[in-house]
Amino acid sequence: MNNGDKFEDFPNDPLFSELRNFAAEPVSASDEALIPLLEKYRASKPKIRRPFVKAIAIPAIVIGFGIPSLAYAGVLPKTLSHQIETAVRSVRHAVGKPVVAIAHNIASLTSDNQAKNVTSPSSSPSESSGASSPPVATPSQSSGASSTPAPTLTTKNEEDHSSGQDSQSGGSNESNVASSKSPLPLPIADPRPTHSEDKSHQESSATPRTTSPHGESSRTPSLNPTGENQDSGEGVSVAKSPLPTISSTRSSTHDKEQESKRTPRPTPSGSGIPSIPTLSTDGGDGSETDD
Amino acid sequence: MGEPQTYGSHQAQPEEVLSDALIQARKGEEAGFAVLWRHHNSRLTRFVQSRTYGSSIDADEVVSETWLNVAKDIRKFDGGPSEFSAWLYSISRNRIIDAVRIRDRQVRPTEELEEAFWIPSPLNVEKEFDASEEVRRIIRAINSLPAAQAEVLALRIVSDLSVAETAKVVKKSANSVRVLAHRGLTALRAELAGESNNE
Repeated sequence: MNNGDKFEDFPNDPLFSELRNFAAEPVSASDEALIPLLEKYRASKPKIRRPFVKAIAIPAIVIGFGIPSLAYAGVLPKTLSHQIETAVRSVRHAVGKPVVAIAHNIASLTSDNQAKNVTSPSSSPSESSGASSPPVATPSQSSGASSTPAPTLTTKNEEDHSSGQDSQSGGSNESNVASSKSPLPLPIADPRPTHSEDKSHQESSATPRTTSPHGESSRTPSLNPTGENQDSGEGVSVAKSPLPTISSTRSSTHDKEQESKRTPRPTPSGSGIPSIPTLSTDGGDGSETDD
Repeated sequence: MGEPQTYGSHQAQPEEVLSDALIQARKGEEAGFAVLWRHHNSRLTRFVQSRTYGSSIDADEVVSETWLNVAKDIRKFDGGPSEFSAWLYSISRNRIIDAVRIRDRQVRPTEELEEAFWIPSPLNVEKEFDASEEVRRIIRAINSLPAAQAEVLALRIVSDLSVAETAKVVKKSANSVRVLAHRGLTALRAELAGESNNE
């Protein structure tokens, strides 16, 4: 141990005393030599994140965009490309769902704001009718309006106008029906540009259907609430199906069933079936309100 | 540009100061880096001078390259002052090896050309080395030993590193370092004794 300790202590041997003194002397290096070092030291700061970017982010982007594009291009095997496509679809769905929810929330907020603006006392009736016009496009609201009989609607609407308040749900239809019957010419030009278009669309699409007997059968119930969709569906089925009779009969029976389902709706209010012709004679509005 | 002059002094710093300076330097504070530079630069320069003595390699260039490497990578360094010393000298050792390789690749000028244009040569480098004759004699004797032994002796005597730190620098075990130092010391004593007898 003593020999080992002596050996460990050999740098303190007098033989190397001058060398040790030489090594301990400060070098005559000025601080100017430190300046480029400090500049290099400063320059090394932003390089901290480079390894992360190079190692993770860039390969992730390349893989995330490259492999799906290869799959869609058909370069990869079918099974693998199918799996990738399903994965991409699921990702799209997962990403799109919250976006749609956010858009729906924004739309509802804006409609709420519009309703608040409408309900404010400074708003004129024309503004209220204009503001309440957009909900007409939705079939659910229009169907809600159709459940109430027309005479009661007029009275309600008159009351609403007299009080200066307009309810958002179904208010447009009520106001429109009221405007058609009220003596005051309310500016309700807006009510249904969409419905008029739909009506014209129905009319235009009705002409080929008159040629086919099944088209007539499906067309006759103008009070069909979902007539637009069904008509279009029938049109497609008639045009494409090799057996038009089967599809048309199905559609006609389906329409009749729907008619039979819809027609009893006004009856509980007491007006009954006779109210239907009055609605249909209102023109496009009447038929659409039944939607 | 006078900013670095406010950082510490050229004297050796206690362990705590070096530890704090190392932490600061890793965080990106220039003051910590300057303290480390002032503490280690003299011994590092002496080590490189002793290892490159008698060759055409510029010791100052090797030292500056070493510090540039340290400045670039000190944020990745993890360890205390002892580990930092080992890291610093291992960088300088690698830079010396690189410089020797570069020198060996270059075409050596003839003696006439060296005399005509005063191209740096071992003779000229020796003139710039500010050491006493006794020191030069010892350094020459150390450099005449096998490279591994000379390296270990220089690190132990000039750089004042411990056995463990020296082992980290030369990437060998502590026992290997002891053996190399013992053999080198024995050979060195014999050579120095022979030189003195010849004189």
